[in-house]
Amino acid sequence: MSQINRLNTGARTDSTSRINFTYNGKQMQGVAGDTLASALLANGVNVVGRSFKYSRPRGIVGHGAEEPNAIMQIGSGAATVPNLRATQVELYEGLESASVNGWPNVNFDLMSITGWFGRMMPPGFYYKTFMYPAKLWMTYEHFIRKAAGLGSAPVQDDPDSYDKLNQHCDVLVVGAGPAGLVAAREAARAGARVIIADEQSEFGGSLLASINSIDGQAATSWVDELVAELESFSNVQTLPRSTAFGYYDHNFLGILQRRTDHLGISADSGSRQRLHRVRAKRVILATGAFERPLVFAQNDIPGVMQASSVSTYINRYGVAPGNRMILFTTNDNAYQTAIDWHRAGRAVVAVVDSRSAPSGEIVGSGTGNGYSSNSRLRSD
Amino acid sequence: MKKYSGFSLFKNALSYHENWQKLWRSPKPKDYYDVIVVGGGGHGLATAYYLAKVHGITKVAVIEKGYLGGGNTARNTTIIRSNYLWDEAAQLYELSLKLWEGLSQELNYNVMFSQRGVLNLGHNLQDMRDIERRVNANRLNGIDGEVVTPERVKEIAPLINISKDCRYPILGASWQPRGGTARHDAVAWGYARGADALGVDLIQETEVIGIRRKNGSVVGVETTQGFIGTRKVACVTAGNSGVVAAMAGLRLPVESRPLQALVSEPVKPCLDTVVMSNAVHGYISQSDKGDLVIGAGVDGYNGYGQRGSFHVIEHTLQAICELFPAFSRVRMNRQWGGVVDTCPDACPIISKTSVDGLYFNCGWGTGGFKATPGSGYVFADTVANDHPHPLAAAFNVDRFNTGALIDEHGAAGVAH
Amino acid sequence: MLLIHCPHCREDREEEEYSYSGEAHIVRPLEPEALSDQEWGDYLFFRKNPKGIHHEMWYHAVGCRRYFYATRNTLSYEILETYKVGEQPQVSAQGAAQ
Repeated sequence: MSQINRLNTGARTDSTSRINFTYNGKQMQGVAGDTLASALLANGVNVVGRSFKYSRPRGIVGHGAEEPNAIMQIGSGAATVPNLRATQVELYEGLESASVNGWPNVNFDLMSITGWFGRMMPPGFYYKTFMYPAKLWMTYEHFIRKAAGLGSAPVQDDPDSYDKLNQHCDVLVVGAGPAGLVAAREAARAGARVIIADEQSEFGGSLLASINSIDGQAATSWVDELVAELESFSNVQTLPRSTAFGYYDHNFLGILQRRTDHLGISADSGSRQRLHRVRAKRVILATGAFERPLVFAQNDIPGVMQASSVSTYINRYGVAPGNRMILFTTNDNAYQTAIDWHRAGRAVVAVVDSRSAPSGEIVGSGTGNGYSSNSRLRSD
Repeated sequence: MKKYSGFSLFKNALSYHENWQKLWRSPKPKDYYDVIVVGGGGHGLATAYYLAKVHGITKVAVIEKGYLGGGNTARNTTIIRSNYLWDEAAQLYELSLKLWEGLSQELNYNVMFSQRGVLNLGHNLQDMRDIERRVNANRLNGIDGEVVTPERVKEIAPLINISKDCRYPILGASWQPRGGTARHDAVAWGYARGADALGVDLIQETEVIGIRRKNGSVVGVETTQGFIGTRKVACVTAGNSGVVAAMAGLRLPVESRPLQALVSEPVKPCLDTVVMSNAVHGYISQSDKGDLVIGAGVDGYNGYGQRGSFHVIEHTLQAICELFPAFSRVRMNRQWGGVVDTCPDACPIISKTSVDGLYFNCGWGTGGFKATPGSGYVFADTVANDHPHPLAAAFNVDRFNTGALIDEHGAAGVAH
Repeated sequence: MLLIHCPHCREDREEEEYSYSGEAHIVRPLEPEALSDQEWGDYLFFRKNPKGIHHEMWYHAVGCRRYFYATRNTLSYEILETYKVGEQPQVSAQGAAQ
């Protein structure tokens, strides 16, 4: 399978490089800077999982921590890791990935026959049945347990080691998007001891997928300059690939740094992951926002994706996740996705706007970009 | 109450599940009740259910400041066992276990009571001596249990580490096959539905803010919805028991502490039993959904915040990863805390008080969930008859002045 | 995860350095044998358990190894003061309520 959806527009990927990986046993290729999700989309993979209860096919919806469907088993043997989101797994040479549900495979799942009985299984149906005869519950439970769960825990001892650091700082910044980066810079210039952490592989947040400019400069190069300045301060500690997971009393935060997961399934030397136990004088939460998914019937079928994610795949990773797009929106922001899609040489079939008369600047600029305002439909 | 069954599921599927009867009504409080139960968790709802079912007292209200089962019922790790050391405790928990065994059918609500067995590990010679003593005591009380070898532990939980060269080697365990887990929400909802069907009023989002007394007797409760008259107030408010007792000018020998738990992301079945270890301070089972459900310890200090200190769960996970070295690659999903009321002897208080018509069921500390049915059963009896049920008599609050304590710290540990 | 100021060391140190020793200002009966069972039980087992301002004793176990007192809010976990044994609190539940 080739990278049928690969573009050369990716600001943070190198489309001339080649990284080999496998998905459900199939050999595939991605490029440097890819996540597993962007590489799968580049290879035209549409179905990445099955839903928990009815085994409905599911595709990639998001591009980060919010991804609900692309849950993967990464690696094999003692070092295997269950339930990683493909959108958060950085591609490395030899990566093995497999979808966690679906039997015999994710494209043809015999468990989906449970979907035929879906009407018999409303939420909480298990409280209403499996009670008689009482003796049979343990048998029922055996099969319920087998059908549940996502990936598999390893069954051998963990080959890796882990460590922790106790840290103190004046200002802890959680999130290295535009707000966090500028906050960290200002604190650092004022002489404060700063730690800035971000869960992604590189700093920049939403700007990594932006084609806008800041102070007359491309957003991505503005990020590069700011990060370089931060790294030049001796009073600043930068922690990429580091997730702040808990904010406890008296400004104590736990941060998990993934030190080697982007290099391979197991660490060659040193610890695989590090816990930073941070006691901060001040904490700045600059964690950004997720796009709120729209609710409509069948919104879980493969091919439905968040608008911001479509733009991110095109602009950051150089991947167009499909050929023809219908854009459904409630606001001006998503129109940028139609523009990006058109720029990627793909067809915008229609824009469906729930508002009766959208009139923002970006809405108008769409005319002449492959879709016209009269293709808008009112959802009411 | 319309019965649940496979047939009722099929019938309701035909009408797209739009005609199910509500699990319970949302009534306006009446002016007067024969009994008011303060607290709509598992124990409170069970108390109301048995008051109506066994004693025919149906003019009962359960008053809950939040939503039903939203406190410790929703926050515990659902372990059920009855292998306590002393006769009084063992018999109370065993009554409970027997009720669990028929509870889904009794309530016509599947509480998913799963008798997958409970292992209590021993890591040193004193642990093993305690385990042997406790198992012998259990068997004299007619409670199932055996002392098992490390090899047998490995058969029951294949991913466990029984090597001898680790920090806390496993020397053996007690094994109670009838123990297990249940679905915590279902227990609250099942009792609530059963009580409602018998006429009990379940009043949510209403807080009791005072207990009105006259000549040393209860005459009613002040609530955020106004005054409600009654001659009997049964308090089942777990971590807030001290606060409620103070409304009647009483002091209880309980201290409130946050207890933490956490769950992993769901994984395929890999642990088919419940494993507990007091020495390394952790307990673990796997829910039917696939989450590894892990219990940690209480904070070292009093607190009413439904959260705990990080180092407590850090310590617990170190212990779990030593017991199950494969689990260090499984990721934790959620963590939370609940406020438990701990007694000096790690046993509950099920008791009349010096105020006529005021009863307390509290002090279950870190392990009340397993006792939900038995606790409700004996407390309902105590309230109905204004006289302690035989199995509740020893748990009178007076024991802290007479000295007749029931020290269950050994069987309770953190993982009570 | 509390950060506690030790009045002896005069430093803010991590909760893990300390151990909790319960309610503060409890006076040991001078003549235990003269007490009734009621009074002796009250002394041994009955503790204040307020939701709010609480005076409590702490031990700086891996620091100076000395006892001190703290006034802490058991709901917000805010520590309002720490003071040495023999001293009286400046903050009280009544004072905080006013």
